[in-house]
Amino acid sequence: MGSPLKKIMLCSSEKEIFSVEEQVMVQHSVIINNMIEDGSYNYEESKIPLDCVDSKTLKKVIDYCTYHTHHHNDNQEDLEAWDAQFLNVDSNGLYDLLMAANYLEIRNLLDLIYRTIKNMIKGKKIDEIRRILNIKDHGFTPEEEEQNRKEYPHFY
Amino acid sequence: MHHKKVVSPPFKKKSHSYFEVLGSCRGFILLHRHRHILVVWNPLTGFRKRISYSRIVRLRMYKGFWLPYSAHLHGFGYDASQDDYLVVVAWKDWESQYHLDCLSLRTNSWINLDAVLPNPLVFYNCHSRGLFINGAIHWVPSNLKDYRDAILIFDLKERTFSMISAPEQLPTSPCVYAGLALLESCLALYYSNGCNTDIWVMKEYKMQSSWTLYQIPCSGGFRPLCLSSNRDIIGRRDPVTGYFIYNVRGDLLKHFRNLYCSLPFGATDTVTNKAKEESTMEKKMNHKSKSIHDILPIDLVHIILLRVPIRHVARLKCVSKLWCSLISDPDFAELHFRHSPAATTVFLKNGAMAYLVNLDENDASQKEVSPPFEKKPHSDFEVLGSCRGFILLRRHPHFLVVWNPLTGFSKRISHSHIVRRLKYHGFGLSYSKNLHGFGYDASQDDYLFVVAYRDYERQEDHLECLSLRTNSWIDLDAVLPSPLDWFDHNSRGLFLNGAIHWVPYCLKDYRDAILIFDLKERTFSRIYAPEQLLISEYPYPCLALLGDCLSLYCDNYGSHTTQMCVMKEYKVHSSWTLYQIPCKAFQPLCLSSNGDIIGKGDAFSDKRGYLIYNVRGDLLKHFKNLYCPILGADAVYTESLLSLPSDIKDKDKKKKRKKNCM
Repeated sequence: MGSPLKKIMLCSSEKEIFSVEEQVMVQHSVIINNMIEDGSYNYEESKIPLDCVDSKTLKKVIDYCTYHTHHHNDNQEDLEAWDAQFLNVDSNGLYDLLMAANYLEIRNLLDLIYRTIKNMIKGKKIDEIRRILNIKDHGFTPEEEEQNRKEYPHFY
Repeated sequence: MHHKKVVSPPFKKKSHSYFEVLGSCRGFILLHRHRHILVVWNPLTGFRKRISYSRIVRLRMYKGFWLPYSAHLHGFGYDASQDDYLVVVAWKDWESQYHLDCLSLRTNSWINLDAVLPNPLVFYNCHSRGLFINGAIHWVPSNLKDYRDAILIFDLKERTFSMISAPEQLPTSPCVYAGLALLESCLALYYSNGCNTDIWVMKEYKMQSSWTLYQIPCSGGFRPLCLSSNRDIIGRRDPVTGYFIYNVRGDLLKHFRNLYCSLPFGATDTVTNKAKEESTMEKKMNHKSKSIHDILPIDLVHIILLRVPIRHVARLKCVSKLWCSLISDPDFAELHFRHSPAATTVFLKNGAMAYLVNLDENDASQKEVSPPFEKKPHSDFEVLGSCRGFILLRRHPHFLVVWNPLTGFSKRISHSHIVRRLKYHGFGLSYSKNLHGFGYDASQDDYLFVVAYRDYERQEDHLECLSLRTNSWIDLDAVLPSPLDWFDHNSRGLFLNGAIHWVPYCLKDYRDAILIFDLKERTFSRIYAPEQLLISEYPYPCLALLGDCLSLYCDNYGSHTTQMCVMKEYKVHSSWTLYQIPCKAFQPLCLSSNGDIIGKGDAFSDKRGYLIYNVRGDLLKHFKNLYCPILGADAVYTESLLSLPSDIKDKDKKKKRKKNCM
């Protein structure tokens, strides 16, 4: 674990550089924690390249880690309210965040996003789920689709 | 000549063609088909071969999470000395242990090579896909800080690791987006350097002095793919679509805009070299509409589905073909069950029908279900137990019925030989005259129903066990404990940790212990009840399963509270912990996801219905409108999509699977 004042650099897919308190990322990202711990990060020179994370998403991820580092003593309800506000994004934004959290191995953010997507589809009608998740090409042949609709009309 | 050709991957089920490209070697492409199948394919000849990847998949899976790809190196290559194609996978399990496995396509077997792992090895820093050249796989760190941060090599013949240094002339600032390419027969290292892309070609393999620099004036990051016949460099420029040809001086010669070019999302493409033809194979991807399928890797979709409560999953099969194939996978039911929270569904008999009450703290709900009996109208039945989503029913006069209410599966077994020996026509009807329990033996993947009973005519005791895998009764009289003091136990046993547990009907002393029958070992043992329960005051204890813990509860008539003891650590006597619930005749059923206690209140007071208490005894919630009979719950269980193992069916299934695969 490094000192709280140290900063590390993250580089988005657009090559934009973000400077973050080391402690913030170390606490949340298993991958970055590993890099710092085994000394493979060089403070003077290194930027951690995140090829599959765009700037907008990376900024959100950093916001999440920063807030949860500094507010981890807040009561559960306040944190949940903040999380809900934080994830008030469109579905594409949510997928991008999920990919980033998976790449950086930020387990509590992963958990939060999985739970959110789960709640988006739980108990919903099929047509509604397709709309929410933007599934236009469901892959069924028209015959299969008709068969399903006939067999389980209450699902649609 | 430049052309594209749409090829269809060699999977028999066309609709299931979601896959990843892992590498290529001598005209073969290595594909990873969700979720644990590797396919080697020669698109030109159509040859294909399938290999299971499940050992690695299982070990990487943990609590519904997949490890990210960054903790995972792989390579596909050819060992000329053995004339064998090899797949090398270096990966990290959840205990952060690194493993190295190698698949030989000649012998079709995985070889464990953990012993040759170099130390220290920083896997996550490298690009996961290795490049095959000169009989070895090569990986490069994705941010190359120093020339000594070298290229990692695994020699397929010698099975040893080594390193080669990058060119010493690397710029002083870290080189981001470094990658490896095979340009003609030379290893090439590229990275973006300011407004150029530097390509270093190692003209002579492992000769440090032979590194030669070419610069491509392309700020967006140029990825060289191969050389043209005129020795110009062909590659891609992210994020511009299409393919570019530059000469070695860096002049742009050509740009093919009309060829298919997937999103710059990382390693989804691979270059194959064939004697006469150079062709670029790309994963088919629709990049216009951004739907969940286009963006998320299948692994992540899979995890989302694993987290949806199982009773909502069945309908999700209709959402898309991909989801249907993920959910129909035989392993899905097992994985989902393993990652499901503990039992929260209560099965309640109501005349000839039954209710399923789901006690999720946020959306408690109920559903009426009809037991799977052929004759209508239904005659009466009795609930004997539940296990892993199955309910065991007894139907007059002498049938047992195993039923999964979620999938609708049911199976009928006769127990007439026991009925003949028993004067009493059943199990539960004569509470003190028999013991029974329904459980699962993981070692045999078998569901077992155990019955201990007394034949009063002959004054004999019997122990029998029904295996649902073989559909046969096994005589276990030999393991009956002596002295036979069990007839003062509650007849229905509780299944947990691979064993059935019965508690004495009347607990006079804590040494009046809980009787245990281990389904795997087929032996009896005992554990003591908690000392905290004072003897004469609490005479009628019952068992419940709270979370993963055995609990014993009984009404404290004097104080209008219910005493509840939880054995926090299985078979550790000192771990019994006492809780007091301020409700008379409270019947704990299960734990909520927050660890609060959900149970049934006293039917004869204002506490009628289902209650949630925290461990300090504060009432958090009260569900009054759910079906809640005066008598207790018939079974508390975890819903599942599991099917019963069967020796007879297995063969059919295997045949079927063989046919269906790919």
